[in-house]
Amino acid sequence: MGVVFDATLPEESYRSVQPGALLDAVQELHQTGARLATVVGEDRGHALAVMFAFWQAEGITALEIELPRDEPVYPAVTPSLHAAQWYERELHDLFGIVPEGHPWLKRLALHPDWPAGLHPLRDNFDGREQPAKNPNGRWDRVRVEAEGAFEIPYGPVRSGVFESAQFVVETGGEDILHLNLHMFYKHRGIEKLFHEAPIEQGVSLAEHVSGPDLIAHSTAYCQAVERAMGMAVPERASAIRSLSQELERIYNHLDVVVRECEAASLIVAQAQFAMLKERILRLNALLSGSRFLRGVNCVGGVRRDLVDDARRALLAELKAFEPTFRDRRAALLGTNSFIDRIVATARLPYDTAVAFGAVGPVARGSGVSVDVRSDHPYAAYPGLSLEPITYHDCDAMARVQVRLDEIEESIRLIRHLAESLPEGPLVAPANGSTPAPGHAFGWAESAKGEVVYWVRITPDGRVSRCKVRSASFANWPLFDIASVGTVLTDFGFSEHSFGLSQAACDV
Amino acid sequence: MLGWIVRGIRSGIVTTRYPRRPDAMPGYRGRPVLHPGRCRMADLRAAAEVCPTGAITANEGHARLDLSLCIQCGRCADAVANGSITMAPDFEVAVRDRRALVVDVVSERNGDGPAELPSSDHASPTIEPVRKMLGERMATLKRSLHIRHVDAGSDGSEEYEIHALTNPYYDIHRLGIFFTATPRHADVLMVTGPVTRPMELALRATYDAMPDPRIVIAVGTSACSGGIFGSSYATLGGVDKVLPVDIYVPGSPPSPFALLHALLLATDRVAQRLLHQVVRVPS
Repeated sequence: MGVVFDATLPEESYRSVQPGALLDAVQELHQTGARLATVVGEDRGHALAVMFAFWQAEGITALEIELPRDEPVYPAVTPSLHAAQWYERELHDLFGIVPEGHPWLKRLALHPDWPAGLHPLRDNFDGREQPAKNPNGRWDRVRVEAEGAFEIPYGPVRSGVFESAQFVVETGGEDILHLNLHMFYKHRGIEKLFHEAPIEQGVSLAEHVSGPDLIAHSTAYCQAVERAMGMAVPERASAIRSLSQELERIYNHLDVVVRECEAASLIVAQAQFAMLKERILRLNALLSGSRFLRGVNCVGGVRRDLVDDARRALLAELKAFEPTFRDRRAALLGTNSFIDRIVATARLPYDTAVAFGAVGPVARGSGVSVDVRSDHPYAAYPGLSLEPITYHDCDAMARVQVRLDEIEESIRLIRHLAESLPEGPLVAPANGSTPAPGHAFGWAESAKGEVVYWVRITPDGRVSRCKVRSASFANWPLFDIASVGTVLTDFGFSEHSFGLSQAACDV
Repeated sequence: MLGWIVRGIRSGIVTTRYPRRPDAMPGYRGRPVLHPGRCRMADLRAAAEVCPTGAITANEGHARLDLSLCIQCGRCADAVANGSITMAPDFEVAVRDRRALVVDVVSERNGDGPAELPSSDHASPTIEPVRKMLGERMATLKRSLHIRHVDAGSDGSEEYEIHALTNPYYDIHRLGIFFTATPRHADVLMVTGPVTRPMELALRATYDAMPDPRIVIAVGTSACSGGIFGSSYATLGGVDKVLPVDIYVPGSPPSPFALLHALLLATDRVAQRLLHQVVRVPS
């Protein structure tokens, strides 16, 4: 294809195509097995640009089209590449770019009461503006019309301590016939806040996309900025980043197990796993000052060192934690009343997972081997032998098993990283001059799957565009597919087995 | 099933004794604290420079630390080398009035600071009878307190911490506090997030469905003030833009201990620790 990889930006290439040639180019890439990484929109003043970024063996290849501002129309890729469905709807809402031929071009990121014709991520939209609500806006949704069929609106305020989202269930009383997802109740306009933010402030913004994934998000952001600026992160900082990310993975995975036990009313098991999770959160506080490891990352490295005392405390706690976890894990997998609820629940077939671009434990539970820690290693992962953990049963059980195995693997990785922590500085030396303008991708494997950022920075050290693609954004569209055919009482089990974040999806 | 019960008993008791005994979270960074004796105006300007949310602002004659905007990143304490700002791990940060989260700093040379008196308490008079009533109701052991939670756009970590309140370490059930699914049974509304545009209606509807007396707790920095999200096309900039807030508990997220403090403050069972302060420092 004649793609030239920039020497200063390994694993990244861009190719301009005419809008008319986009579909062929996408097909060509797709047929080589390339997987959609993200779709980035950008207001370039003279034109609106869209980049379709794909994972290939060498790294990310982005196909780039430019569209005139007054008529930003291009042929939709969703009909041939299902994974693009939400991205193209998001582009339509936030940029007013029209993917012609999209099968379901309804509101997504902006709710129906948002006035037509206003697009927040265009540069001429003032981010502080609060336009009046359009009282006639209504959700378009798929309705099942059959005798006895009815709708259950569930959310956005739900029964229990949950993040806000609305699920409109089409049901005949027990079976879920169709599930309409109304998300983006938590859209906070973070991508607009990134615009013109100083790059260091961007770290705080990335940390607030999703609190429980903040290491993955801030790592992906920092790596994108560092790549764009040509900074080399010191080894010690890379190791601390990877170590932090594995701690984050452990408590996230434990949270899924806690929620599954809660759904099964397995109260003692719930308490036992909640205790394990609390131990990791307290360990995080001890190591970094924050239970969620907030403030660890900065552009160029890390702000918090792992001093020897903390390292000893970490290793001691892992030594005590591991046998307890193994015991609770064995007990859980031996509790038939629990296993019965998640085996064969919410099946997501392999082909569907691939076609719709599943990532993280949701993909790996359906036998899809994707994990950017091993596929496109970053931070300290190039030096760690790591194979994606996959299960092939495609059900809630498989997704739980992936997580239980990954907790053990994370313990192994943390121990290895802590024992062989390289000496050296924590932050890359500032090169003295002002940062060169540039753009780059950055990625990280959060507990929920891969996070992909794309940033463009200006010569005065500000972010001009930052696109956030969370794992939850990639996986939510698969949840309604997996839910069809399950029964209402399985809803909690399927939802928690996906283990997705609303904040990360809605940005 | 028996195996789980045996494991439960073998785990022993891990539950905090708070509020009867003080408790702590080792290593927790907590909130920034100003030390007027060590502090100069120049330090505050250096801190304001690095503060990502404007929790610290400073000009020539006046500076301000507003915890309702603070995301606990610790950059201010890192920026001043002389210990004039340090991070304090105390978690009793819930207050009845947002101004109690503010420290105003005036330069000694230039005394034209804010007119307010030091260390004042501005809690609205309407909350007091409600607190007393809920407190008396709970003191008799006859009634319990029920919480309804609404996520109005948090980053998700606040939900983790609220959920943690039911784990064996904090176990709010021992205090007679429970979560309820229906707002009609709720005494307390815990709201997280800066209130996003689509959540405004759902938040109001939940509040309207609650019987009087009711208390609203803004949980987390973004709920207290909008925090890093502020007020934008997507967010309204804090819960008090939509509902009357009775208790503010800052933090990003507030630790479960801070949430316990807020719930106990709502029922008149602990004291408020933070008060609005005005301090004078050399320029």
